[in-house]
Amino acid sequence: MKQTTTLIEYATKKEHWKNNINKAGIVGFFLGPYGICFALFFIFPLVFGIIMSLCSFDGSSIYPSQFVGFDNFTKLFTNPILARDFWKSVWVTIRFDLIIVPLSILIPLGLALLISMKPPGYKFFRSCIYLPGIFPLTATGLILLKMFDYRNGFINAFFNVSIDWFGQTNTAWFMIGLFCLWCGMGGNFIILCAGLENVDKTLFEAASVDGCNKIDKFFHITLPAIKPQLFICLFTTFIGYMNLYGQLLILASNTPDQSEMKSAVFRIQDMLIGNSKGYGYAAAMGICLGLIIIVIAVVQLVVTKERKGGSKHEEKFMAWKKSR
Amino acid sequence: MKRKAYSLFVLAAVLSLMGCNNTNNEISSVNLSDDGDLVRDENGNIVYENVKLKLWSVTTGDDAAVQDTIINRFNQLYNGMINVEVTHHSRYDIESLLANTMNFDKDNAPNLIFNHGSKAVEYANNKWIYDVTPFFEKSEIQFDKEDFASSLLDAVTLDGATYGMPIDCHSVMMEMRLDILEKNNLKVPTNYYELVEVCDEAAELAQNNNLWIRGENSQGYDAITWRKASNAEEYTAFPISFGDMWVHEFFGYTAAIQNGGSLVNPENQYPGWYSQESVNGLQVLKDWIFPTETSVNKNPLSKDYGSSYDVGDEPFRNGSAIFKLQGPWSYQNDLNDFDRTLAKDGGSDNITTRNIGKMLALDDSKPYASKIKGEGHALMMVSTTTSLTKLCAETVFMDYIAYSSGIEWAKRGHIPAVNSVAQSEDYRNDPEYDKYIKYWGAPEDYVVVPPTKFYTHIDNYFKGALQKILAASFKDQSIDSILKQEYEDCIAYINLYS
Repeated sequence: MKQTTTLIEYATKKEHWKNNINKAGIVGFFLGPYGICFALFFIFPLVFGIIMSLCSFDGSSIYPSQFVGFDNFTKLFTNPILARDFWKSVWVTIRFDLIIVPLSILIPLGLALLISMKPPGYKFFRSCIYLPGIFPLTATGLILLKMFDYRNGFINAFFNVSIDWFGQTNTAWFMIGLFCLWCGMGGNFIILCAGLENVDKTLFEAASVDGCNKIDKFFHITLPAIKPQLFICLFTTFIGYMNLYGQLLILASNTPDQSEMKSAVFRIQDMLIGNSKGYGYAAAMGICLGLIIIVIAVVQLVVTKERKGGSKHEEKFMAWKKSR
Repeated sequence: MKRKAYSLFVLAAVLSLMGCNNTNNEISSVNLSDDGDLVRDENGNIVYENVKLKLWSVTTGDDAAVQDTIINRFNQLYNGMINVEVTHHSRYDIESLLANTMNFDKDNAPNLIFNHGSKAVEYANNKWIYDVTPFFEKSEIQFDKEDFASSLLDAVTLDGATYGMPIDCHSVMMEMRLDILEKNNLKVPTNYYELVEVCDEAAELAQNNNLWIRGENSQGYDAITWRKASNAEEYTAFPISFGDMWVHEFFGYTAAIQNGGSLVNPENQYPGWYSQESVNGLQVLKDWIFPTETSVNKNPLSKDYGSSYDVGDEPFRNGSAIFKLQGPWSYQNDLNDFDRTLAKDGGSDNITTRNIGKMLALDDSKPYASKIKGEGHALMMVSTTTSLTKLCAETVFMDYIAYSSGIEWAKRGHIPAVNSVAQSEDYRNDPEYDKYIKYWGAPEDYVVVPPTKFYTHIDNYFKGALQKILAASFKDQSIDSILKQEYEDCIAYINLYS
C-alpha cells in the first residue's frame, strides 16, 4: 500500500531536519576549533604515547620499529638501572611536591589575605606580587644564579656567608623551591585574591554580631568560602610540580650529585637524548608518571571532597529534639 | 559500533604515520654511475650555473659574522655559478630543528650542515647525511684525507665512509699575566711541573707578603699600579671549578688523555675513561683544588669555587690570579680589554696565551702528554639533495671553506683541520699568527671523541664523574670509586639500548 505524507508532515519533517543541521552547524562552529586542537594535541599524542610505550625503537627513526607489548613497562620494574633511576626520580619529585605545594598555597593565601584588607597602595603591591610570574623562567633563573653565586654572588657577600647554593644537594633543592615560589606564586595569588573578593560580606557582619573573633571568621567563613579556589590551586600546583623540569635544568645542571637532583620528567627527558632507542622507555615512564599523578589527584579529591550533610544533620537534630 | 569505528580511525592514523617511517628514513638515491643533471663544457668540466645552496650553521655571534664574511667572499668568487645562503642556529636549536625537518619537512631541509663533527655519526645512523667521498670523486675535487688531522677525520668516519669534511678544531686555552710573572721573576710554564712550581712560588710569595700584583678591583686599585698581594687569604694562581664549562668540556678529558687515558674503548662502543691512567689524570685536577701530602703541588692552585662558572675572569683581571682558562674565541676580547686598561704600560703585551698541552701530564715525555681534548666543526652533505649538480657544487664549497678560510677562522679560535693550511705561508705570515695563534698548537695535537653511537652517554657520565671528583662534598670519596660508579651506570644504559 502506498504511504501518503501530508504537506504538514512533510514541512514539519523538513523543518526538523533543517533545525538539526543548523544546531549541528552551530555546535560544530563553536566546538570545532577546540575539538580539532583537542584531538590533535591531546588525543593523538596520548594514543601515540601509549603505542610508543608498547614498542621499541631502532635508534635511527622517531617512529616505532617493533611491537614489544609490555616489555618497556616490565623493564621499568625489573631492569636495575632503569628501575633505580626512574623510581628514585619519582620519589624525589613527590618529596619536593610535599613541601612545595603547601608553601605555594599558604604563602599566596597569606599575601592575598593581606591584600584583601586593602591597605594603602594595595594595587601596587598586588602587581608586584604577580610580576615575577610574567618574567621568563630562564631570565629569572640566570638572575638567581648570579645572585647566589658561591664566590661572587652578592647574597653570600651581603650576609657574609660562604654557601655553595647550587653545589650541594640540599641547598640546591632549597634554591629550586625558592625559584618555584618566586615564579609560581603569582598565579595562585590572583586566584585566591579573586576568591576572597567574592566572599559574602554579610556573613562577616553576622559573625561579628554573634561575637566571632578574626580567627573564627577565617576558619569558619573565609576558608569554606574560598574552598573551590583552594582546590583549583591545590590541583594545578600539584600537577605542575609533578612535571618539574625547567627549574632543575637551569639551576641544578652543575650540582655534582645529579642522581639526587633529577625529577621524573628530567629522567624522561634524559631518555630522549642521543638517539631514539630510549623513546619506548620514555613513553612508558611518561604513562607511569601520568598514572601516579592521577592516583594522587584522586586521593586528594577524595580527601578534600566536600562532605555533604544529607539527612545526617536532620537526623541528629531530630534525635536531639526527641531527647528533650 | 561508533566506538569501534573511532578506535579504528585513531589506530589507522597512527599506523599511517608509522608507515611514513619507511619513506622518511630512506636515504635519497643518487645514481653516480652517470652524470644525471650535470652539465659539462667541451673540456669535460662541470658547468655550474646559478646553483643555490642552503647551509645551516651552528655558529652564532661574532663567529657567525666572520663566517658570513667568508661565505660572501665565496659567493663573489663564484658569482653566477654557485650561491650559498647561510642560516645560523644556536647549538641548542639546531638539533631539534634538524630532527623535525628531516622527519616532517624534508622539502625545507638544507643542502649542507656546518656542525660539530661528533654529530656526524648520529646523523649518519639516521641516514640524514651522505658519505661525501663519491661526490668529491664525481666533481673531481681532491679530498686528500692524509692532509686532515687524523682525530678530526676519524670523528666523521663510520665503517670506512666519511660523512663530512672536517673544517676546524678548538679547545680551551690558558691565558697568563706576563706582567705579574715578570715582576715576580716567575717564568712562563711549559709543562705541569713548571706550572705547579710557578703557582706554588706565587702562593709562597703571597704568604710572605712579597707577591707583586696589579689590576682594578673593588677596593679602588687601578689597573696600572703595582701592589703587594694580600696575605689575608691563600693566593691561588690558577682558578678552576667543576661548574666551569672549560673544565667539564675540555680540561677534565685532557687530564685523562695526557696521562694515557682514553675517551672511548677501542671498539668505540663503551666509555674508555675508567682506567688507572684516567684516575691518575683526574687526581692531578683534584690536587689542583684539594692538595694532599702526596700531591705534586704543595699549595692549592685554585680555591674551591664549587659550582661557579667563568671563575678565572675576575681574579685574572684584578691580579688575584696569574692564569685562567678561556675559550680561544674570546681571546681577542681580552686583548682589547688589556689594551684599554693597561694602555699606558704595554696594553695587551701584558698577557699571553698557551694551549693546555702538557699542562696536566705527569710524564711529559710520553707521546700523549701534549694531546688536548678538542671539538671540531665539519661540513656535512644532507641526504635530501638529489641533484648531482648541487651535490658537486657542495664539494666546491666544502673545499673552499677547508682550504681558504684558515687564518680568518683561526683568529676566532678555530684551528684549521687541514695540516697544509696550518703550515702554509699565508697562515703563518699573518701577524696574528705570530702574536697568539701559534701558541694554540697544531691540528694533530687535538683529540676529539671518536665516532660512537653512545656519545651522549659516554660524555654525560664522564662529566658527572668529573664534577663529583672536584666537589668538596665528594672530597672523601676516592676517584676510582666515583669513576667506577659512573662507568657502571653508563655501561648499564648502553647495554639497555643495545
